[in-house]
Amino acid sequence: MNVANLGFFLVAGLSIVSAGFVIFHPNPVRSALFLVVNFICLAILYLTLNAQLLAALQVIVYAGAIMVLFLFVIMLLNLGGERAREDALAGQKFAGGFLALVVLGALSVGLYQVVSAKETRPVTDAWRLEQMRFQAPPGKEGEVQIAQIGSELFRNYLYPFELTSVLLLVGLIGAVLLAKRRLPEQSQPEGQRRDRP
Amino acid sequence: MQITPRDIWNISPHLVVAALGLIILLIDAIWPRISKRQLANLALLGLIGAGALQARFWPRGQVTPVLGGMIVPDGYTAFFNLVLLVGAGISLLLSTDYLEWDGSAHGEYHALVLFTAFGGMVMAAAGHLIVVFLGLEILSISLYILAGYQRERRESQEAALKYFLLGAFASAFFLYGMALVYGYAGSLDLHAIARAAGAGQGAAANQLLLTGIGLLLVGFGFKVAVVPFHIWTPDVYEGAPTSATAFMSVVAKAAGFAAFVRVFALAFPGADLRHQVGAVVASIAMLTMVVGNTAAVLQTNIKRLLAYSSIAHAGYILVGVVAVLRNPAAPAEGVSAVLFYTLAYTFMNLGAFAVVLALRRRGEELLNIEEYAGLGFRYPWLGALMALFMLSLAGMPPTAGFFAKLYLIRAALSPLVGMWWLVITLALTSVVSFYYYIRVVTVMYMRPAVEGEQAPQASAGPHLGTGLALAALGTILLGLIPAGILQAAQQIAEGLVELGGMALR
Amino acid sequence: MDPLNAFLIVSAGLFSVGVFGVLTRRNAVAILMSIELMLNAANLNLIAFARFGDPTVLAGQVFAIFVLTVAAAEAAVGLAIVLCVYRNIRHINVDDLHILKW
Repeated sequence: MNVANLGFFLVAGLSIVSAGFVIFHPNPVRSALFLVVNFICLAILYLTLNAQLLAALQVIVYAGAIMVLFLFVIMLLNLGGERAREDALAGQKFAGGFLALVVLGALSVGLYQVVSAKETRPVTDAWRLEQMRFQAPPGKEGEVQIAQIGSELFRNYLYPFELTSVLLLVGLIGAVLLAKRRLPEQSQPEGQRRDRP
Repeated sequence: MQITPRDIWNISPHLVVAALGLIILLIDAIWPRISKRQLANLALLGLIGAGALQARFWPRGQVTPVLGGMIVPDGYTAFFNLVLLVGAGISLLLSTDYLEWDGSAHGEYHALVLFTAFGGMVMAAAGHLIVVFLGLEILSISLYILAGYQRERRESQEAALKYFLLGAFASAFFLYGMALVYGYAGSLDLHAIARAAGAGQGAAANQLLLTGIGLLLVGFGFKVAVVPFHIWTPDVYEGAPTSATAFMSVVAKAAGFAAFVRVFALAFPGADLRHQVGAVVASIAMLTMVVGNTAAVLQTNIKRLLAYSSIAHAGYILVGVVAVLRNPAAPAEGVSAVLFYTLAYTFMNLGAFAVVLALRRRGEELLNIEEYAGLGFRYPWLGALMALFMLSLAGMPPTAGFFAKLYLIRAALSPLVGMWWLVITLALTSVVSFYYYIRVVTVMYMRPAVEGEQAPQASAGPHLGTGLALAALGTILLGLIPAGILQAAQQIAEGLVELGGMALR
Repeated sequence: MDPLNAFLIVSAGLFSVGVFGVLTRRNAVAILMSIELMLNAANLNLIAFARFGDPTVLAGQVFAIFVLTVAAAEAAVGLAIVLCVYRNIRHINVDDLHILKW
């Protein structure tokens, strides 16, 4: 096993291990921090896959913005460790583990053989450092990848792109509507709902 | 890709609905004191406009995709978009009184309803899986918010949390399935997937495709609430504000099935593949019909009853999907049955919820079925309409529900489908469903009414009255003259099948 | 070992860990984090397929950007719902939500 392969297995292994800590650590703050580790591992994997923009976005948007949101809410609610409720837990863990194993099995079976059908390359090929340079596909030299993604996004995928704006707007409305402390009172007609705790 | 005015014209109904949502948000922000009824009226006007624009594509539309294959403005799109517009319009009519009474009438509600409808319309029109996914997310996220719309009611908050967690879980499955299909076909365009799947790429790759299809099935199954992805349904239906429940019960189902049928009818040609997938869908359908109908028998809360009934109806529609998948000779028959059923379901289910929304007792909603005692005499009109909707949901002739079921059975009975046991399950579970639908009617007409302070009150303002009347009209008309709509549905279905054929060339 | 295979196995592993987390955790925020793991697993798949498929087409990476956006919107709404639930019920353990039968 050479250095490059070792690197891949290290990062991939770390991503799985940190994912394990995310779901097993009882303290949500620690879980969130392990999730950040996981995201950064994934960003490194993206780099080896020649997806530089995605690697940057992964760190900026996921590990940055989204995780800050998570941590903010965790801190705001002052969430401690989960109070273990042993009775329900054992069965649930078992069922959950079983289902997760089924999913893993199904996915592995579904995925594993695909690749043997296609051409095979060693992992090291993906890991070679020269792959990390901006690589313009043949015929499009001089155009870097980000520009290419941009033009894809604004040409072929313009409509989905516009859809995401509606999606984010809806998210915005939801966040304001649900998390705001008090909405302006309405003048109510007679005969409205009586009891409110 | 060049965007031409023609493209814009083709997606104009979508644009109108989305713009309307924005306008309502703006008006509400600029004049916070504006009556929310006016906002609802404005939204209705816009929906009618969008419907008029959409009706232009009825019933054939145009089968060539626009916007780089993202949107297909064919008759199928037009049909489902009109169903969604009608569903959203009637839901808005039903919600104004309820929200005022509840003290939670805000402009955001109307805007969210419109955005939900927009997401559903996008799903129905999508020619690309990424558009399906984004439409699904717009629809779902708006619905999570609507479920938790009553911020001070615990039940509403719980419903939102459950809906959100399970919905996001299902979305993740859907997404993973999409990723696998992308790995198989190298594209997420439905036509490209169809070409790749039609060409066939060996057993190993087929496994990848099958895994992907299975995961997509989980995502769609959750959205339209079929067993075993239905656990969220009764809780969310019960906890969400009743007007939002009415809305999500029809819109999420119509949009979910629209995308479901289009993706499965178009993207996965190949008789063997369809046969396999059809068998899986058939077993889900059977399970859904049995579980939905038996669980509904046990319910005492009308919202939970309608939740299980909606699960059962999803099972019936799945029978139509099976007919699409397993009948390569005439898939149009199954498609048209699904179309007709969705429309009928929209009218009758909204009608049933409209009656629930009109009833109160001592400042609370009247949800316990036992408390409906004597309503049939106290409020003859309301009682009669509820009886109509219940009988239609049960499938009694000559209502919309009867013909809807009839067409499904006719499509599934074709010898090529080879699923007679599915048809028998449909018939038997429908008999079971008579029990719980008729029980509501008997409680209304056979039990003595409670008088005095405890007596139920009914109040139907002009909005709710109009909504109720429209729902009743739809239920009756589809029952009395089903031929016209069925003919259109058939043409639309043929258009879709033709599109599937085009994809392979 | 084939590189695509290696990435797909990592992704399947991450996805299954996420599934396990959703099914066993009771803290709503922790469940949301598990869902984020699942979405990321799907993203890894998309990018790996994009890299080892036709290298001239960057569609996989474009999809990954859309997924990122969806994840952000979902997280915002989800956390707002969590906040609202907490304000009403003072905890966010999904096991203890009993008004409606779970």
